[in-house]
Amino acid sequence: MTPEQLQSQYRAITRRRRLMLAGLSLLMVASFALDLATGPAALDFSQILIGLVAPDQLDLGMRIVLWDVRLPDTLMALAVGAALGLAGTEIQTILNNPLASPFTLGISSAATLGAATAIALNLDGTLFGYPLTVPLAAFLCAVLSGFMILGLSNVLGGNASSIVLFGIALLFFCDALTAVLQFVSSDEAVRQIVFWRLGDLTKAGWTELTIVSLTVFLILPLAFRASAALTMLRGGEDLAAGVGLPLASVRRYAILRVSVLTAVAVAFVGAISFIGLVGPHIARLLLGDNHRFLIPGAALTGGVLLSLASFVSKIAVPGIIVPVGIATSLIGVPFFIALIFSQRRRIA
Amino acid sequence: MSVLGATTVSASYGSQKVLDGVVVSDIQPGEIVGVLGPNGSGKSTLLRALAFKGKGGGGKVKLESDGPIAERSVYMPQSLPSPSPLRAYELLASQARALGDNLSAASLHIQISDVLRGLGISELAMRPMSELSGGQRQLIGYALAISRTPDLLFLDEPTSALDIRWQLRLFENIRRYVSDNRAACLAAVHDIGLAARACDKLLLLSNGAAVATGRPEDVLTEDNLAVVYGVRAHTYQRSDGALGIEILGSENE
Repeated sequence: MTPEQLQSQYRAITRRRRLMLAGLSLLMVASFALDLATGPAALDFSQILIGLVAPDQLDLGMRIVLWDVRLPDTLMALAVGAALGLAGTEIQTILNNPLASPFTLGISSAATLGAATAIALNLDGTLFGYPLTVPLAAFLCAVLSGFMILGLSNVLGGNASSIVLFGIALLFFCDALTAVLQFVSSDEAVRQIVFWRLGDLTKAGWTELTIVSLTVFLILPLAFRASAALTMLRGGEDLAAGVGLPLASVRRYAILRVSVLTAVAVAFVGAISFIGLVGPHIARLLLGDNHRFLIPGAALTGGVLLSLASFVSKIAVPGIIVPVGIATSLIGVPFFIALIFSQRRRIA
Repeated sequence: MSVLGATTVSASYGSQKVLDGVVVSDIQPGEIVGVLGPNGSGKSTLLRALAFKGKGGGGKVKLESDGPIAERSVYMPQSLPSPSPLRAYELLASQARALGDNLSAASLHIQISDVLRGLGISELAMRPMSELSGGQRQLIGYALAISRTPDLLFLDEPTSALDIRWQLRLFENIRRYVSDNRAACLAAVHDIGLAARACDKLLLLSNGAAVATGRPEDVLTEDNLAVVYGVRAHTYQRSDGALGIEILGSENE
């Protein structure tokens, strides 16, 4: 095979993947539109378009619904989904484990524990009138758990499966502590904790959205810069270390990115579990293992999944918005299983 | 100037000594040195200790060298590249990018296709690793190693998954690589016949100590094979001048 033939074959593969990314982007726009157009208030597409372009022409009630409820919620779904999809992909790659995710590593459970502590102790501190305590406690606990995993990976060096086991132990430990808190808390606090754990996009406003989006837009390029190293890891860690890839530092920075992404993502909307585990697998099935495509693809896939879940959570039970965490698993699992089977047929 | 100065290597995991002052004599450009020994004799540990200069792995390693230890070396592990959906080409390209080769896309294509063609495996370039056989993946692993153009290649059983034809072809390729690049190779090998044929020098290990070192015919003696492997063997000079070894049976028989 001549270099030219090789190059043209590779171009064809690259073109297919770019098309797939473009398709995912379109899907994201579509699911965003669907999510935006759905909700208890009767806003139809034309009103939404008018409201987006010329808000003054919409009556005040509808304007508030669109700009203060719908838009931040739907955009938040995209941002949180992207953050979790990206975090899940990186953690699965560096630990070489398909079951690794921000959730299975205990980061989400730590966030829940933080939030539950703040709720149970009734800490209602505010900053500039903004209720900060619960998200801040969730964020701090999540970051702390991320740093524990980071410290452990420094101590254990290359032993990825120990890190996964540690994460799962951390998950159970945090869940047990949260259960203790629920056991001793008032009924109202228990209700709040349960709701927090289920995940809820409707709490999000523009401030939260800005924080989550900025985090994603800052970390995405950093992850993209590491894409060649991450791709190498898919060939085998021993192999990568043998040719001089600085394994420890690649892993350290990835865990750092994952911790921050997850902590920020779940701090405001609660422990949405499924996206970080399954989003990356869907992206891998669609795009392969080359992280140049997988990293943006995983962010898009995560965004699409959570956005669709948000849409379903609004239409599943008429008149009620089901917590999005429930919808995520309910629509994600069948979709994922279908994808596994379709992939198997293609291989066979 | 040697690629590797004479080096004494000791290594231990916890209280267990794995290598007890094994002396690797200096290695010159163009040389292929085979490390032989039964399972658990310390071959891999020796290679890793030298390749990672004592820093890889969990054990404690002591290196004493009277010369250079090649700066630009690569270590090819015994484990094969994973059967991931990555194409072989992508693995090679991402390695070049991750390790900071600032090659243009065009020269990267040329480099990769040269390496693969040199090995006679161009047709594997665009196939997913998951569809390749173990032996084919091992060849891709070797392609990844030499595409770094190291001065010293540490190969840990590079032919373990290869059929007899490819075993020979791989060592022919290693020979060509070391002489073209003024590089050297230190390879752990299980097959003593292959080692005798393909290597310039051998190092025979047993229980973490060097039993013999030197030219194949001086190392693979009937006595050494009996002591180290517990086999009865007949050695002779073949018509082409190379060392022939015939294994007659285990000593217990």
